Amino acid sequence: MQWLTEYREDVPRVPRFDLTARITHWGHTVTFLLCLFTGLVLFLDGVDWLATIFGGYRGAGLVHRVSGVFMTLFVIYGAVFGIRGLAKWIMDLFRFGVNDIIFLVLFPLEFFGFKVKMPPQTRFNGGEKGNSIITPTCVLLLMVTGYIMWFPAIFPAWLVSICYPIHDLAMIFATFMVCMHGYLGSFHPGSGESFWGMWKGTVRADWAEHHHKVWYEENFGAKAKAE
Amino acid sequence: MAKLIKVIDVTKCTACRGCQVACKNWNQNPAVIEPFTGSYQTHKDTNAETYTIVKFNEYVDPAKGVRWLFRKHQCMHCDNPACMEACPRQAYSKTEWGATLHDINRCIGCQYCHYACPWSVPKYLKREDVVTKCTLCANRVEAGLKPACVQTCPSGALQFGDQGELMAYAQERVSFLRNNGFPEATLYGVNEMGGCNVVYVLAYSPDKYGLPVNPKVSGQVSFWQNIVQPYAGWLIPLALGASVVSFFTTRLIAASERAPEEGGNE
Amino acid sequence: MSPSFGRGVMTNHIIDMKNTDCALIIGSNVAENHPITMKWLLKAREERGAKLIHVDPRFTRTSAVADIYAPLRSGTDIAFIGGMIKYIIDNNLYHKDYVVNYTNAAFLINDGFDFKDGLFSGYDESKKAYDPTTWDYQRDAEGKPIKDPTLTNPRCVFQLLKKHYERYDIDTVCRITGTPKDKYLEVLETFCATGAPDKTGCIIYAMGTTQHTVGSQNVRSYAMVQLLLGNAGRPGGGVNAMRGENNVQGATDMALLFHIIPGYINSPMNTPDHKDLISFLKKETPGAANLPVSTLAELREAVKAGFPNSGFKINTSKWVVSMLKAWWGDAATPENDFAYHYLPKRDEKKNYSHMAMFEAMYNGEIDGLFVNGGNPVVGGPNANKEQAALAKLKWLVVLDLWLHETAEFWSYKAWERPVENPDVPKMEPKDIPTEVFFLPAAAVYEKEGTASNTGRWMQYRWKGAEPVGDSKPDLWIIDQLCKRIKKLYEGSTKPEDEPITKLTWGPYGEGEEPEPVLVGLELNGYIGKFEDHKPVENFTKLADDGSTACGVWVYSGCMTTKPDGTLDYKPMWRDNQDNSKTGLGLYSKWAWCWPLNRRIVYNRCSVQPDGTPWPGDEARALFKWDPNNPDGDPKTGNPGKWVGDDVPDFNKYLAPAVGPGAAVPFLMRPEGVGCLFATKKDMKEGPFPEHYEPWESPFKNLLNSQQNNPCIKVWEPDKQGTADKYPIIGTTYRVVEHWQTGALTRNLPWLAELMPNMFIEMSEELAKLKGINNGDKVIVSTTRGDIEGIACVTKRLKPFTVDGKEVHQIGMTWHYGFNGYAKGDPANRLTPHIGDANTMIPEYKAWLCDVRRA
Repeated sequence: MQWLTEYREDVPRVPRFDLTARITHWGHTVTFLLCLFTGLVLFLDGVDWLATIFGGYRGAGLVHRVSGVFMTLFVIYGAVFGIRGLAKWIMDLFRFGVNDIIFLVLFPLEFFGFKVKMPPQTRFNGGEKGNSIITPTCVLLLMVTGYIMWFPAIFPAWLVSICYPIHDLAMIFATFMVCMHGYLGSFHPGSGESFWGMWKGTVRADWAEHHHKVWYEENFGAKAKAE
Repeated sequence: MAKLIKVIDVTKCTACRGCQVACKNWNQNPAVIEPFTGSYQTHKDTNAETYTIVKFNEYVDPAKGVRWLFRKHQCMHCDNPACMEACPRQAYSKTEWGATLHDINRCIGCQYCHYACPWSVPKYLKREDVVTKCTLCANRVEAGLKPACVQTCPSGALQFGDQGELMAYAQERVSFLRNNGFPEATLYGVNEMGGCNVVYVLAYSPDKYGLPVNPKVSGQVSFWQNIVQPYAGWLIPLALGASVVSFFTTRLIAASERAPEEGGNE
Repeated sequence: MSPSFGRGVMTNHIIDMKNTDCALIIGSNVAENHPITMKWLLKAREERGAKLIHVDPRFTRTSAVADIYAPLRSGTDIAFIGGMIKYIIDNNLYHKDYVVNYTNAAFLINDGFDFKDGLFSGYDESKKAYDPTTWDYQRDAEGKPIKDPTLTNPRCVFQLLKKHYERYDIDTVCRITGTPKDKYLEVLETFCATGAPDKTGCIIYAMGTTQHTVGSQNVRSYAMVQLLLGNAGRPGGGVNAMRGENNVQGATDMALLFHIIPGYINSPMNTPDHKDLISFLKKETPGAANLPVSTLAELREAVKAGFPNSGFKINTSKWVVSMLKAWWGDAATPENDFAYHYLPKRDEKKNYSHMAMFEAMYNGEIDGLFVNGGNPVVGGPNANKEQAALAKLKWLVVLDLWLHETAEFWSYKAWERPVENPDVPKMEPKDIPTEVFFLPAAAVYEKEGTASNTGRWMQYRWKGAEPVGDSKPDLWIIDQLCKRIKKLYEGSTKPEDEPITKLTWGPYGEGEEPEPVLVGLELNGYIGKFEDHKPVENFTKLADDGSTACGVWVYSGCMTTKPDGTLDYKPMWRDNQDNSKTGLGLYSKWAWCWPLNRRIVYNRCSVQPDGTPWPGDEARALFKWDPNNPDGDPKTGNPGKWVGDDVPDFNKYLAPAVGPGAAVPFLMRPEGVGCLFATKKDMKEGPFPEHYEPWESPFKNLLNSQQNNPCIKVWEPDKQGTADKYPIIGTTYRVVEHWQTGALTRNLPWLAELMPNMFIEMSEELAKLKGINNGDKVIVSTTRGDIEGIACVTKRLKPFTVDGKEVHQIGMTWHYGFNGYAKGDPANRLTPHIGDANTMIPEYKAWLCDVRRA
């Protein structure tokens, strides 16, 4: 059985993510996962075996904090050096339209492997747009509440106590999205090519045209070439 | 084993603070010297190395004039402790006679308990990265002694013993006070938080002593403990499960259809 | 209290307070400074429904638990109590039977006695002293006082008392004290109700009473109220002096004061009437001055026969001779006046009190000082001056647990002041020639011995831990000091060295450390040689022929012999059973108290003159007369004696009677009764307490034209602050968390954290007036200096309205100094060098100052 979609250099490829975006993405991925597993140690009310991996609860706490700091640094790095990419990303989110809604409605079928005819999508499809809103929001919440809980003495008690459920909820939603995103972006046969977009920076042109027709047309299609 | 409770009759307290020193002595806690800021109560609240303090409140009784109200503050040892519920490491436990104990060897310093407690009793000790609190001198009580604060109290404001006996005494004190010029006199800690093992005899309503009138676990904490933690988390396994199903169904469907055109549909 | 009752001691004991019906706490903050007292007072309230009244310039932790709190302006106790005396008499609330039989109310007073505008008869303006000849009773041919039991004779004490306090009506009193009238009336009604025969009330006082220029008269006024209400000598009653230190009673018993030798006998002076032993004894034995005796043997015969106006002090010769025998042993013989001449004689014209000593030191008259457990740089009045005085010494020895402020008075930090003040001396270590020696002392738990508590209980304390490092018990230090001084004088044949070379010194055991029990033997007294360890039974067995020796006669009886022949030191007794049948809490077999283990002194007053309990007060009767008791008077052989729970403080063989032949209730008084009128030299300012303003006061005296106590000695007239510059009344006090100068407690982190810094308590009104916020740093200034502290702005303090004018008062603790964990400026840099006319206790409690934001 095939796990990942095969990387093919023999077909035309188009650039999808620049280096900054990729560094930010993967840096964030690693730190998020570290934070997730060290955090689950407490969320699941004391998972001793998991804590042991990180050198006990204190080790897990330390990894959690250090990862959190690095995560913040990656986010800042991405925001500063990838400001143009970030702007483009945000602009694309504003193109949310009918096609995206149709995508979201039909998506469950596609998800489980049924053939559906999706309307043309922009750079990010409806699902990705949803992920792009929910995950960064949750991550920002996680970071803010995390720092507040880290230094509770300098914040009012009500704020600190509000941070506990928010941190948990943000974690839950973010993790939910991450699970879906991780799966779709890698092992899902239909969208698996996007893994290479984030790994190598390029995707197969035919896949791009098929999945993100609008984006492809605008950037690499006949019209774009003509300009 | 019958429940043992501590009764604090604030009307007999002279704020000598012998209890504070006895507590430090028994627990071998170092002094926490904070500068004087305008009140005899030199610590604003208990801290990780000061399990109990006497709170000083000035109150102007419309009938009696200025009153200086003293109240020894420490862990209430609730029957259903919020700290115990919030603790992710099960560091808290209840003795069969009622003390709420905290095991610092299990504690990881997350301080969830501090924010869960309506009196914010558990306090964080930065140096050791753990939370600490009053133990009701469980190690003394189990050796047949009274808690250090009760042992040292010269005025008889602190009593410790069998719940039945002491509750009768406390009720008697309240009715005595009500008949002797303190109509607001009340007990505190009997119904609060589902019952506590520390019961106050108060001459005025609890707020005059800086006590929350109806102590509850705060909304955000109960939302977190009762809704988010037990239920919301299921979203994650849901996502994982769906992904696993999808992993197989996509491949099975693809295999059954044997779609020839490569790349087009991936 | 001695002029009123005969002894200057707390009449009852601490546990006895649970027997009271009403406690008037005035000039004391028992909850903070005597917490155990509060325990028994609260018990009285819970079990007997007793009322607790607190009268104090400040609302303290005592006020917080009291039933009634009445503010009074610092230094106006006599006005407050004078009004109470008037109220008692006007409303017939006095205990008539008691007053007639147990006080001198019925005694007629010399016709020459008079009182006009603040002055009694006999005042000499130039000497600032009275000639008290007229302050005496009218006497019959035998010299016995004449009485009028109807109390109607205009010259009887009762009528004179009534007349004297006529002026102290409630409105005048409240105008002086600033007490709200309704509160004052509530106090009067509540406390004076204890004049009923079945009620007792106690008065509890401490330094808030004594640390005034009229301190002794303040105490007198309390004693008089208790005599009028029939509360003295009864369980739950009395005038209870709360001692400021755990062993201050023991220290005064041992003659820590300059004017007495052990056992409260006046110390010898360089005057003709003290020139030899017999002159001294004639002078100091009441009623003996005019006896036709010229030798000790003749005096002995006269004592045996008895003479009037003497009281129990007729035995003074036995106590003095036994003390001299204890000091000089075989060298004290009848031929050399029992070594009376070895005793140092003080200069009649000189004063040797604390303040006088420091004034002399400041003037360079003293070379060396030995400070044992004191800390004058923090605790002395006008501490700036006392600190400068130390710099005039050649040497200073400090014996303490910690290097406290006095031990380091020469350091830079000792001279730091919050503001530059040209009047305050400023020095540097290089300017100070004093050589300072520090002897580390063992703490109380690191040594053995006795301490006598405020209720006269002499309790033995065993060692709990070994001393730290090189520190030594002070008994060891004194022992070594004496042994080494004696060694220095060894072999000297000079007669002036004999007081040292002939001094007996134990031996107090074999070891390096003296045995406290053997010191106890010397206190108790012994027969024959010290080494024989034969304790004398008690002070009634002391003799003046040299056959007995006794260090302190009041302690005689504290030791006996066990059946096995070893010494039984009664302070070691630890029987935790209350021996009283009615639950009065006497605990007579727990430790031992002087005199003769009488837990309540003057206890004849606990029953009626006829020996039956006061009506309705059966449970508090300490004795009853048992006419058929076979263990009767050994002298007469008649059966019958008084039996009861306590030890009788009267002749236990005398059957109850009224009038002559009755046992006297106040046997230490020459007249045998409690004194509403203090006779002759007993009080320097006069027989009745009269209100005078504190030395520094913003007000004119409203009751007479004498502004201050006419008999006080003014050391520094230029340092008297006036209200125009210093409009605020200042007072000092202690808190429960610290002890005295804080040398002990400020070095203990657990206590330092409870009271970490010097603070100044003030009302919200004053704070607003001065723009001070709670927690601000403030400067307090007087003519003596300035200190810095943190403002503690509180609702508990209120300005006083005195004679229609508003006056503010601030309070501060005097615990702080520049060493230790808890630091702050010493409040005594502000207090004046002025003291009570009788005792020279400084007026720490009322002086003028100003306060501003730092």
